[in-house]
Amino acid sequence: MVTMVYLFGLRSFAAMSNYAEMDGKSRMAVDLMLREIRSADKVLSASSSTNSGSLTVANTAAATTNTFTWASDSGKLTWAKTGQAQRTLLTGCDNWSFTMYLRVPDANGNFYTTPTPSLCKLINMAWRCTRNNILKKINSESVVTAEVVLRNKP
Amino acid sequence: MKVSVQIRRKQSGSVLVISMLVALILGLTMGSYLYWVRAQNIQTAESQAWNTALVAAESGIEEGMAQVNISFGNVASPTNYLNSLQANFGAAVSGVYGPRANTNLSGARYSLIVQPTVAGYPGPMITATGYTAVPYMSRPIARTVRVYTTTSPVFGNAMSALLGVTTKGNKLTVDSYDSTDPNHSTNGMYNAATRLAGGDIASVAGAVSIAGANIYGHLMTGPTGTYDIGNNQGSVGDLNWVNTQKGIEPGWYANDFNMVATDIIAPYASGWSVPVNANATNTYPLTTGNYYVGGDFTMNQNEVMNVSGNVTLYVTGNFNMKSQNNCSINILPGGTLKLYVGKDTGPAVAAI
Repeated sequence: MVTMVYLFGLRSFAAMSNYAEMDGKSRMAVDLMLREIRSADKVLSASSSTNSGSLTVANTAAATTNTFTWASDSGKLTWAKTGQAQRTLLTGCDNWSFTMYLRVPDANGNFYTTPTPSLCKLINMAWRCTRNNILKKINSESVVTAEVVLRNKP
Repeated sequence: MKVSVQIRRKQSGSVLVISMLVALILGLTMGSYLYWVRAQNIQTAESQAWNTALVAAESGIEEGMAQVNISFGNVASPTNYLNSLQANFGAAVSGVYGPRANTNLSGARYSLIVQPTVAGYPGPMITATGYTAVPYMSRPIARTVRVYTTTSPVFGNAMSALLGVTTKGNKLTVDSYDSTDPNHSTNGMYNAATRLAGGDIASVAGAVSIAGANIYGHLMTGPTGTYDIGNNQGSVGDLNWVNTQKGIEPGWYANDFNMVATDIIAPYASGWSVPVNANATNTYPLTTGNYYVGGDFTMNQNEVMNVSGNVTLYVTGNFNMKSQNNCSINILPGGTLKLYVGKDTGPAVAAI
């Protein structure tokens, strides 16, 4: 009985710790990415697959570019900004994907997707992070989605 | 007998102590666990409140944008929003209108200010702050968004349409010039030798057909729009491209065009008749005034319309130029032409 309570408590505490850590990092990542993308005026390049992804946006007025890169083998989502050292936003990131949209909505208010970076006005991102929990990679999963508009894109 | 009784008492005391220790451990574990659950719950709620505050601030920005665009479509004074701003926000203090608070949102509120004049920026500045509170803790959260705006023309293209653009023939050229730049104008007037590639053609929906025209500018449609360049006889692109090649220059077509066009109201119900001059070099001489044609108006072979003043021409029917037969409209120096075609109601008409 005591052993069962101990193991249950251990896993629960570990799960809680994982959730708290992932939530905090995801929130920070959302804030940082949205701040840069919102102030950008164009998407320079974009690529996304099941194993990797990269998104580069430019802020012409500030003369900066921001590149967000994810690789499944490292499980890291990194952020590189002109003039700053590369920074890791997320770890244990099993998936990171995004979809680009035109500025134009259809009759139902949904936006048209586009594969062309230069036409992108809206980006929808989603990622999933996981953590090990007592020898098993279960039970600690954080899924985040965010939509952001390139406010400065003319 | 006494011995056995003493032994039982010692055993009972040990069980009690062990039970209390186990209960204490379980209680501490349960208490800690519940505390962690509470902390996690608060953290999640705080995260939601954090994001909600930004949404509330964005709502304030949208209200501010709606306020500064209150005169959108007003040709006479498109930027005259200050009267409305004062009515809704109160009198300006040190050049700033507001703060104006909105408490009608569920679980959030925002406050915004509008500063019409900002050094270094062409448009007003809007600052909105969204407020929320973390549930269970009532801890306030405030996030601020600041937007610097700029003005852009309602019709930023040489030709903009809601439903399709069609050009015919091989002589049409669309370009642009900059009357403020002597390198791209002559005494502020158009000069084909110094033209610019700003003659964009765009349509929200439908098809854009340019046939054999030369478009020094971009071609833009909506996401569902199509285009036709006349069996690759037309040309769209920058100056060098159009002068040397046919087709559309890479990067000069986009399918994300969108615009809001206010309905055009018929300018008047009667006016001067269009004068007709037998002299083919100036068939329809229009000087300053309001002209009215009740029905179709057709310009035939070699006919010319010279506009030498500030002219408004209202044609209630179809407006047809036989472009293949060398008819033309010449807007002379100092002249302007506003052309209205069609009625507010009734069947559709065309200007071709």
